[in-house]
Amino acid sequence: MKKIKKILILGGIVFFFSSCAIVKSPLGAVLYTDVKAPLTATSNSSSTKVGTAEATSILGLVATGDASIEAAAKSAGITKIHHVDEQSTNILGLFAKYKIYVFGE
Amino acid sequence: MLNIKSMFSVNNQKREGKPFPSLFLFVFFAILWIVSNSNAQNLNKYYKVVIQENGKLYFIEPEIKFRNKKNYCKLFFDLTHLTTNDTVSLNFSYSNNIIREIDSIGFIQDNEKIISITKKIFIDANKTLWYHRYSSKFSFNDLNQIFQTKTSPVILLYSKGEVIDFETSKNEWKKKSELMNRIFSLIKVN
Repeated sequence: MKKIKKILILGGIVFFFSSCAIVKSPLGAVLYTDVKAPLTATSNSSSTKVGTAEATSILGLVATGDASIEAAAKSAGITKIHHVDEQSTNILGLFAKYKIYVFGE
Repeated sequence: MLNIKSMFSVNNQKREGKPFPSLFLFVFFAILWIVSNSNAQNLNKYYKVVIQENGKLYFIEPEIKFRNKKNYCKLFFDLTHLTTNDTVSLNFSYSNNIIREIDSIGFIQDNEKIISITKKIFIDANKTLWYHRYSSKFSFNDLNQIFQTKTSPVILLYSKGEVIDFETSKNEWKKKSELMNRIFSLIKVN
C-alpha cells in the first residue's frame, strides 16, 4: 500500500509539472507541439546565410537561453536580415523549446 | 494462504474503482516514448528550405555531437546550401577554456581527408569558457560522400600547428548520417 502511495505521489508530481513548461506559439496542444511560424520580414533581397538562436524550459522550473534576433544573426555573421521564422516545441509540458531562424546576408 | 489473501485484496481494490498507478505511469511513459521517437525520425526537424529567385536555400542542422576526449570540449556544426552553388557553408561552434585562432577544419574518414580554410565569425565569453564560432566551405559532393559512408568521421581543427580532434559515437553517426543522406538526396532531386 505504501509503495502504491509513493507511485501515486510521484505520478502526481510528474502530472503537476507536466502542464508547467509553456512556450510562445500561435497554436498550442497538451501532448505535443511542434509549430513553425513567421516572425517578421523585410524588403531586403534574397538570403545566403541562416542563423539560429534558442531558449529552453525544463518542467517549467528552469528556462534559459538567448533566442534573440541579434544572437541568431550573429551566429551566422548576418548583417542584412531578409526574414525571421520561429519554431515552438513542447513535449507533454515537460520540455519546451523556442527557436528562431534568421535568414539574410 | 497469505498469497490468496493478498490476491483478494488486489481484486477488491480493482472492484472499488481505485486508480491503478502502474497503468497510469505506463501510459504516460509510452506517450512520452512515442512522441520523442516519432520526432527523432522526422526529417523536417533537421532542415529548412526557402525558395528564392537565385535557387533554393537549404539550412541543415545535423545535431551531431562531436567531442574531444582530452579537453572535454564539444563541437557542433550546421550546413547552409544554395542550390545554384556547388559548395556548402559549414558553420561550427566550439567551446574551450582557452582562446584559439582556428586556421582550418578537416574531416578524416576511411583514410581520406578533406580540409577547408576557416573564417572567424566571432569569439565570445560563455561563463568560464570561450565560445568560438567559425565558418568554412566544402564541396557539396565531398560532404555528401561523408554522410554516405558508414564509418564515423573524425573532425580536425588546426590552430597554429596544433591539431584538435573530435569524435562522435558510432550509434549517433549511424542514425544521423542516414537522415543527412536522405536530406542530401532530397536536395539532389529538387
